[in-house]
Amino acid sequence: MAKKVRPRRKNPVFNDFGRRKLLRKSIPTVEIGASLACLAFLVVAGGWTLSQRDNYDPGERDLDIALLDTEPKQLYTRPLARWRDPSQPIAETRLDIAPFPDELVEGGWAPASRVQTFTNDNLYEKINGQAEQYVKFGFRELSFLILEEPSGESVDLFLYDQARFENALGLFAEQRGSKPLLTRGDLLYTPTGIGAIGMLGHHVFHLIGSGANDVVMSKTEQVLDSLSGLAEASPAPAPFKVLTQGLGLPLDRVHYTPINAFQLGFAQRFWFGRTTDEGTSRVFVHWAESDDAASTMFQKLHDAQQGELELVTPGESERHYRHAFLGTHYALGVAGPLVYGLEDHPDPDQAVTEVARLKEIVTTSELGVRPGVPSSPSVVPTPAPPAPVASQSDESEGDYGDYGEEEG
Amino acid sequence: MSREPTDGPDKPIQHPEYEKSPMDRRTFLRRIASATGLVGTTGYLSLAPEDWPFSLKDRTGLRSIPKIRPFRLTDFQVAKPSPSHPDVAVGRGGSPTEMLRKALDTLGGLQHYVKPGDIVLVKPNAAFDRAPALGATTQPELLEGLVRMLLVDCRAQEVRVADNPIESPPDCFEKTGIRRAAEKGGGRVYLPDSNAFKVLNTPGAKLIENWPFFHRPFLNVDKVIGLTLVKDHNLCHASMGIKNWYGLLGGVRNQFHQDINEIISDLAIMMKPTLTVLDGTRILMRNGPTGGDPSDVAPGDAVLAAVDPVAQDCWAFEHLLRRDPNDQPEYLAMAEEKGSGQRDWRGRLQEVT
Repeated sequence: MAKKVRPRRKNPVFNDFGRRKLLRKSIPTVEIGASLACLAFLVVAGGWTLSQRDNYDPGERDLDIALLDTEPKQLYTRPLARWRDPSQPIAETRLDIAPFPDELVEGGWAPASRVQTFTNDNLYEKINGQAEQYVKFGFRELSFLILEEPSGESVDLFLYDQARFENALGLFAEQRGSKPLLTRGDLLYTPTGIGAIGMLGHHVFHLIGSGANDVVMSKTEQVLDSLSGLAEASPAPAPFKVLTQGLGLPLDRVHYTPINAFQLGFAQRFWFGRTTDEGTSRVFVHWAESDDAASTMFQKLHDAQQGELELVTPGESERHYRHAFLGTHYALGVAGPLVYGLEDHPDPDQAVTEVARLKEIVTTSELGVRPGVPSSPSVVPTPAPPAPVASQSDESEGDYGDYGEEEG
Repeated sequence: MSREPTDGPDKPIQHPEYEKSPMDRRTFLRRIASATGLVGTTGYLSLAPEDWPFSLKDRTGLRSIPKIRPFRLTDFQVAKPSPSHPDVAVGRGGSPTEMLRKALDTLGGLQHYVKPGDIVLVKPNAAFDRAPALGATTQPELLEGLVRMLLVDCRAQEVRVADNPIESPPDCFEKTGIRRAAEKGGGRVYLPDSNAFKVLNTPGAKLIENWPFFHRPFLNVDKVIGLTLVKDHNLCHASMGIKNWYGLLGGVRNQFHQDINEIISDLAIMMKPTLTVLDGTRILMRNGPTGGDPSDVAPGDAVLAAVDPVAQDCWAFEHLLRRDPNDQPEYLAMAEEKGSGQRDWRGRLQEVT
C-alpha cells in the first residue's frame, strides 16, 4: 500500500510541511548565546521570586505614620439640616458627658470624644496591668473622658465606680499612701503635680493633665469643685462621719473591717479609729440594719467577750470591762441602730471619758445619725464586697479601709 | 442554495477537500485508555476515603482549614568582645544619653554589637497614653539618643521602633512622645494592626509556646534592643527589662495576668535580645504600671545596658526600685531556671561615672 502524501498547506510563509521541523541546517552562535542568556535570566528571576516568598519589606504594608499628622478624611456627609426659623435662637448641640457634670465643658474646654466606659470585661484595655487592683476593690465601671482646650492642653478624667464607699476608700488609701490628703466637703483628694486623685462616695477619680501649668491646674480646680457639688448624691456612711467629723480623727487612723471583726464571724462591717498615734487603743462603730439588729449585735459581742473580759460597769445600753490578764479597759454600747465602743485602752478614767464623748456624738443628729429612728444603711448595702485577697489570706481582719497602711 | 453534486442519493454531502482519516485500532485504544485514566483519577481523588493517599475528599471541612505554620525568632545575642567585659554596665552622671553611652562603652561599645548595614529594632515601652513625666513609659530623650547612636555611630541601615500597646497605639506613641523622638532620631515607628501578627513558636515556653506575635517589624531584622524603664507593678511587683517584651504579644494577653510570673519567665526565653537598656533616671516607685502622679516618680542617676537581662533586672530591683532583694519577683528565679541568665550580678557588673 502506497504511503499517502499529505497535501501541502496553503500557507507558504512558515512551515508548509504541516509538522514541526527545523528548516535551518545551522543556528548562529549568537542566537544560541542569547537564548541561553534569556533562559538563565528566567531561572534566576524565578529562583529569586521563590526565595523571597513572604519576605517583603514591612514598610510597604505598615500604616503610614504620616496619617497621624493629616486631617481626617470625611467618610460621611451629613444630610441637609431641617430648615430653621432664623428668628429663633439656635440651640447648641453638646455631647452628653454624663456621668460627668455638664459644666466641665465650659470656658473653651470641650470633650475630645464621647465618654468611654469600661467594665470588668474590658478594663484591661484601658489600664492593662493595673486593672486587677480596681477589680480587687469591687470595681463596677470606669467612665473616661478627655477634655481639651484650644491651646492644646488636656485633662484626662477617670471616674471609677467601685460600687461601695468602703471599696473606694480602701482603693484610694492604697493609691494615696502617705501623701497629703485634702477635703472639699465630702470630696477627699490628693493633689498631684498635674491633676489630682481622690474619691467621692463610691467613686474614685483620677485627673491627669497634659502638663504642670496654670491652665491644667485651673481646670483641675474647676473639676474638683464640680465633683464636690455631687457629694450629696453619694454621702459617706454615718460611722465614717462619726469617726472623722465627730471625733475628728485623722483619716490615717480610720480602718474598715468588712468581716470577722474582733475575729468573730458574726461581727461584720465595723469601723475602727485609733485614738492615738501610738498604742493599740481604738474606738469602733457599727451601723446595724435596725435597732433590733444593733441590740442583737450588742448582746452577741457581750457574750463573746465573757472569757477574757471582766464586767466592771454593767448597764442596759452601755457596759465597761477590764481585761482579765492585760488590765486594759473595754467598753460596749448601743444607741439606736449604732453599736459603739472602745477596746484595749490602758487608762480606765480616760477610757470612760472617750466613750462618753463617743456616745454623745452618736446620739446627736448632727451627723445624720438618729437613734431610735429606722436607719437607712443603704449607703452600706449588702452583699459584702469582694475582699482583697492579700489582706484576707493572712489576717483575720480585712481592714482594707486602712488609711495609714503602706504597701510593701 | 446550491449543493455540490453527489454520486448517489445515499452519499453524504461532503466538502470537496474533505479527506477521510479513519481511526486505527491503536489510536482508538490509546484514547480509550486516556479517557479511562482521566475519569478514574478524578473519581479516585474525589471519592476515595480521606485517609487514602492523595484523596481530596473533605466531608467535614476540617482538611480545608488553613494550617498555621508558626515561625521562630532567631537568637539576636552577640558575644561580648572579651570575657573581661562585664555582663551589666551602669552609666552614671550627665544627661541620660551620656549615661547610656558610658554604659554601652563599658560593655564594649555599641559598634561591637551593631554592624554597619544592620537593621535594628528598638522596643520601647509605650504601653499607655500617658505623658512621659508620669514614668509609665520609656523616656523619649533616651530613645532619641539611642536611635541616633545606632544610625550615626553604627551606621545601621534602618532603626525600627515598635510596640503593641493595648490602648490605641497612635495615641500611645503620640502622647508618650515616643513617635516624635524616634523620628527625630531618624528611626521609623511601626504601629500594630491586625495583619501584623503571626504565631510565634517558642520551644520551652509554658504559656506562649504558640502565640500571636507582633511579627511585621521583625522582618529581616538583624539586631534587637530593648529600651525600657524601671517601675513598680501592681501584679508582679516590678516591671523592668524582661517584662518589656510583653508588649510584643498579641491575642488576648490579659489572661496571662493570672500567672504573671510564668509568662514573664516565658518572655525571657522568647526573646534573646542583642542588648537590654534600662532607664534608671525616672523610676515609678509606686502605683505602677500606669502611674498617674508625678510624685510617684523618683529621679535616678543611672542608665543600664546589659547582655544578661536577668542580672540587670535583679540589680535594678535592688538599687533603683530600692526593694529588699529577698523579695525579688518570682519570675527572675524562674527565668534563671529556664536558662535566660543568672540572677547573681556580683562580679559581672561594672559602674562607670
